[in-house]
Amino acid sequence: MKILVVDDEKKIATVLAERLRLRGFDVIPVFDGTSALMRLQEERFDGVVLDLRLPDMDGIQVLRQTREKLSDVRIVVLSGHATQQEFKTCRELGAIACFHKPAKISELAQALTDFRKKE
Amino acid sequence: MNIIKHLNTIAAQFKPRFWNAGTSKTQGQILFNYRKFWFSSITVRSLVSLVPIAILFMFTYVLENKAIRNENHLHTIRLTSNTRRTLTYFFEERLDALKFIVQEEKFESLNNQKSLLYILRNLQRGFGGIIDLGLINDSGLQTNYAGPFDLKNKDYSNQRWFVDCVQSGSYLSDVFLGYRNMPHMIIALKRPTPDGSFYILRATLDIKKFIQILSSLELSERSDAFLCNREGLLQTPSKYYGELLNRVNLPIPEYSNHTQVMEAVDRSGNPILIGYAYIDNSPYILMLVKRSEVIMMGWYTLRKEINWVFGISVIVTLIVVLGISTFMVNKIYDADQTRLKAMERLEGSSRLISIGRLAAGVAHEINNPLAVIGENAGLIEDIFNLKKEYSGDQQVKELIAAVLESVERCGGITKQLLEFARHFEPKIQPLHIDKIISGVLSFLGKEASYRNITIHTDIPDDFPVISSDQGSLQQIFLNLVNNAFQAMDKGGRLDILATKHMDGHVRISISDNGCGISEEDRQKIFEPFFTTRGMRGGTGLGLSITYGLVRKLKGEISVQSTIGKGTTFTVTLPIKHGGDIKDETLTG
Repeated sequence: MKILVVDDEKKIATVLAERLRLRGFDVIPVFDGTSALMRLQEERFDGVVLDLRLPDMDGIQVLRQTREKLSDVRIVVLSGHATQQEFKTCRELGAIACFHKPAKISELAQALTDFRKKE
Repeated sequence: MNIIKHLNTIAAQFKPRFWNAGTSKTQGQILFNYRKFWFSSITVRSLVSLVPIAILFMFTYVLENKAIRNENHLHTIRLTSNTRRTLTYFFEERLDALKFIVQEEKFESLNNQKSLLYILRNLQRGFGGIIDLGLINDSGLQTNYAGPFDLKNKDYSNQRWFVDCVQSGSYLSDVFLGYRNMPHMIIALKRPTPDGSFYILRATLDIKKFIQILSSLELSERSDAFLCNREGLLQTPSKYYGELLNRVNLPIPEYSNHTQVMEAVDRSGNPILIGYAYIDNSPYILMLVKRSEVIMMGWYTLRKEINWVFGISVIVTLIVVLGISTFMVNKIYDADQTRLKAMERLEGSSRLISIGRLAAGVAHEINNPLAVIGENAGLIEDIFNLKKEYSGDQQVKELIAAVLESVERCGGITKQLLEFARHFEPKIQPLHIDKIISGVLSFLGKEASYRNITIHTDIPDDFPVISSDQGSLQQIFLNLVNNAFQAMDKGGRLDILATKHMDGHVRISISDNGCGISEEDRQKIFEPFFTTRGMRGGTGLGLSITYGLVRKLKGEISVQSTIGKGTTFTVTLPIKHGGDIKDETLTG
C-alpha cells in the first residue's frame, strides 16, 4: 500500500514515513504542497497523510485539488493546530480521518488499515 | 460608654462615602486626597458665602445703631426744646404782666394796700403761681406789700436782686429761701419817676408751678428733668442727681443759644444722654437726663434679633455649604471609583488577552518540536517492538513509553491552550437557559450526590429565550458548576439564579457556600494555568477557557467571594446576539 506523507516539518515527515514503513506501508515523504500535488499526479498512491499547515499552500487546498482529480485516494489529515471547523471542512472534502499532532501511530495506521480493509 | 457608642453609630451614618478612601488597604488606589479637597471646598465656599453676610450684618449693625442713636438725640432735643419754650413762655408771661401793671398803674395805686391786694388777686386768677406783690422805693424799703407774709417795711437795699434790678431795670432771680425760708423766686421791675427817682414792683413766684411743668413731661424710666442755675445749683428737685439748691451731680454744659444734647457719664459710671437748653433772659438751664441703657433698649432688642438672624444665617449657610461640598466630593469619589473599576476591568481583560496570545504562541511553537519528539520516540518504540534483537529490552521499552506518555500529556495541554485562545465555531440559535442548565446538571448530578451537594435553581418561567451558542454555554456552565463543586469538599449548597435585566441582558449567577477565594487569587482566577488545585489535578485552564467563551458570546463574567463563606460567579449575556462572533481573546 503506497502512502504519501505531506508535512512541512522534515523530521516529522521522515520519521512518520519510517514508522509507517515498519508497519508495512510503502511511504514517500514530501515537505510542501506543490511537491505533494506533483507526486500525486505522477504516481498512484493509496493514501495521503496530510498536514494542513504547509509552507507554500494551505493543506485544505491540496486536499481539494487532490479530491478533484483523484477521487479514489483516501486522505488522512494530521495537524498541529487545526480547528474543529477546519477538520469539519476536511471531512466534507472527503478526508477519511483527522488527527491532532502528536497522534498515536497505531490510530493513524488503524485508520489507513481499516480503509484498506474496506477497500 | 453607651452614649459614645451611640454617637459613633450616628456619626458613622453621616460619614461621607469618601471619608475612608485611601486609608483602607483593600481600596488601595486613590486618585487624590478627598478629605483635603472636601475641607478646601468647605473653607472656600464658607468664606465666599459668609464674608458678604458678615459685612452686610456689620453695616446693618452700625447703621441701625447710628439711626437709633440719632433718633434718641432728636427726640431728646425736641422734648428739651418744647419744655424750654413752655418755661420761657411761663416767665415771659409773668414778666409781661408785671410790665403791664407797672405801666398802667399809678404809683399811688400801687402804694395803696387795698389796691395792690386787688391787683394780686387778679394776677393770681389770671396766671396763677404768684404768691405776693411788693412795692420797694429807691432806698430799698418795701413800702407796700400784698401777700401771705408780713413783709411790709422790709429793707432790701442790701439784697443782690435789688442792686441788680436797679442796675438793669428788671430782674429774674434764682430760687432761694429768703426771709420766708421757703424756696421761691422773684421777678422785679424798675419804674423811673418824673422826679428822677424810681420804684420797683416785685412779685414772688411759686416754684411749684414749674415743677409741675417739668413733672408733666412724659419721661421714661430712670429719666429726669430739672432746672439748675449757671453755677449748677438745682432750682427744682431732681429724682436722681441731687437735692434742691444743692449742686447737681452732673457736668454743667457750656452755654449755647440752641437746645443741645451731649453724652456723658453719671457718678456711678452709667452712660447718660443730657438734653439741655439755656432759658432766655433767666439764670436757668433746663436739663433733661436719660439713661443710655434705657433709651437704647430698642437697640438692644434689635441687636439681639440681628444677632439671631446672623447666627441662623451662618448656620444655614454652613449646613448648605457642608451639604453641597459633601455631595460634590461624593459624586467625584463615585465617578472616580467607577472609572477605577472600569480601568481595573479593562486592565484585567487586556492582561488576559495578552496572556491568551502568549499561550497560543507558545502552544503553536511547542507543538511542532513536541510532535518531532513524539514521532521519534514512537519510531524508537516501533524499532524496539518490531525488531527481534531489541524486543527483549523491557527497560528501554518502559522508558520510551514514559516519554510517549509525557508527549501525549503535553499535547493535551497545548490543545487546551489553543482552545482557550482560538476561535470556536459557535452557532448562534435561540436557546432556553433552563434547558442548558438542567442538561449540565444532569451530567453532574451523580457527582453532586456523591459529594453531598444540594443544588437549587431559580429560573423564572418568563425568562427570555436568548440567542447564543449552545456548546459554549454548556461548557461555561459545566466549568462553573464543576469549579463550585471543587470549592465544596465537605458538601454544601449550590444556587443557580437567573434574572432578566432591563438593558437587554440576562444574568446567571452560580453561588456556592464553599471555601471562598482570597482577594489575591480572585484577581488571577481567569488567567491560564492559575489553579489552587495544582496538587489535585487542576490544569488551571477551566476558568480561563470559560472567560474566553463568555467574552466571545459578548458577555461579561465577574466573581465575588468571601473566604469561608463562598463564591458567586455571575455571567451576564446579551439576549440578542448582535453581529458576528469575533474572537476577543486572540487570533489563532
